[in-house]
Amino acid sequence: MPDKNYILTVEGLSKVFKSGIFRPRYIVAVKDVSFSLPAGTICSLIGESGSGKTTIGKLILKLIQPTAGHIYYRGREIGEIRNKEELKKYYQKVQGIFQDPFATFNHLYRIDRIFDLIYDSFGYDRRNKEEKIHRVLTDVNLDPGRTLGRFPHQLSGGQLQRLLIARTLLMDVEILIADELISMLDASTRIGILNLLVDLCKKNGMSILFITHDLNLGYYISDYTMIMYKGRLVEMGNTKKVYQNPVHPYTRMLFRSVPDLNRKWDKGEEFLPEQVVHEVKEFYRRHQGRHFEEVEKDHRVLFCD
Amino acid sequence: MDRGFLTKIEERLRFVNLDPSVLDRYPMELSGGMKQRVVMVLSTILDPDFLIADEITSALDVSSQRFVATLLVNLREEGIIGSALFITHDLSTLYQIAERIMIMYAGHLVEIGPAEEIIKRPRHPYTKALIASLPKVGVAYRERRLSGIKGTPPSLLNIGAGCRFRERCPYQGGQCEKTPVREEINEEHHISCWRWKEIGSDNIA
Repeated sequence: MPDKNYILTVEGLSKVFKSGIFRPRYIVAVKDVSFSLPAGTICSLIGESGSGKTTIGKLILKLIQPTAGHIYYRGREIGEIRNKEELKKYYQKVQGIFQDPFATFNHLYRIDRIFDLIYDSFGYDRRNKEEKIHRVLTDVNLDPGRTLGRFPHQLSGGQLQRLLIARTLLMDVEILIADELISMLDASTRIGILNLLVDLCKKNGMSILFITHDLNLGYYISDYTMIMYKGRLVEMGNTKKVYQNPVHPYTRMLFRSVPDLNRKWDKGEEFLPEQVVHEVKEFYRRHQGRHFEEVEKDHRVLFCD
Repeated sequence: MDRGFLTKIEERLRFVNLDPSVLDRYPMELSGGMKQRVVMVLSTILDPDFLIADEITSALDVSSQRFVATLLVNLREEGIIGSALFITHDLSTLYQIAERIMIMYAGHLVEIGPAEEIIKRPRHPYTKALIASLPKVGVAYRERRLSGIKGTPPSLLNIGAGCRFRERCPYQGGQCEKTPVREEINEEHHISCWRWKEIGSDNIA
């Protein structure tokens, strides 16, 4: 049974996709992933494209069904949530924001109508509607007067991302899956959105699963870090510990490729992204028989799959 | 196809660490990093004097980013390309490979100079703010909160005269209503800001 102290627990989660009809191929997107998310923390899930990080987000949001394993929200297996009412309650508490804010909105509706619909569909008290919508917009530094009457295409990417955050505030979300939330924004807008997100998380006790491939961002905002490689979690723990003392060869390769303004890449070092496949194989071979092990407190590494 | 040309293509593919068998594959069968390398082979096969590389690393994973960016430098060092203009919003990657950096804001040149000087001793208020807003490993929200740049970029319709950054600039003053002229800090380093002398080059990072 999952520990009640965690708001979300994932146990032995796997997802296999089938592609093709006549000669189907099976793609293992997520393989035996387990982790727990304490309430009120920010946890980043870092991996490259195709590593399965987005699949994990989708599984938690019940957009796809797991092939094996369990996801518990407040101790309850989410696969058991089937009827419409319960599902609605779940989505009131667990929400996702994705990379492309333009794709999230219905472009035929003005912002006020979008917020009205959300508010009404979750059956909140109608009397406070206007006041509450204004308050959440102000919380994300948007001017309600200048925002509500507009269509999504009249707003910038940064403003739309703020609107999505406002939406989660309107619904008292407890777990936010933020998938590459700011990848499409430019450098000066990014940090504002990030700060806003962390402030709100601390203020409202929201937990965030921050999915990204940017290690700099991960370090900046997260309490915990999980590194994914080829569908598996290979290293996880306290952010500082993982960054200061990376053990898995894949994590080490990632850190070597981060561009840093204080340090230049070593020109003499031969750097091939493909090489990591062999390094990981060799690492697993050396540590045969071992599995997930703690290397220090709050820092675990996959030694051999 | 001309045999000699095919050999050249195969050589170049090996140079970017791709197996020549990719020639028999469709683009959808390749990963993003591999596709970008194929594009680099395609666009440099005629040994251009000048290559414009527009956000070539933005859609890639960190490890492919490093590989592709370094590749550009190697192509130059091998004499395959002459010079390259690397257009990007990712200053940290740019700093790894560029000799000179030019910063633009709302269609105007803001500052141009040697990469080392721009990053370590930025002079223009926009360059300073931009560098200060970059998250980096070792800077955590809990310990040091970074600040973004207030406001949003101006609309370019009927923008009129004046420094285009002035609305968001902490040093905004009287002369800023006039379009700044390009001045020389030293032979290599130029800037468009009325107040660069009083602002100085104290680093923020």
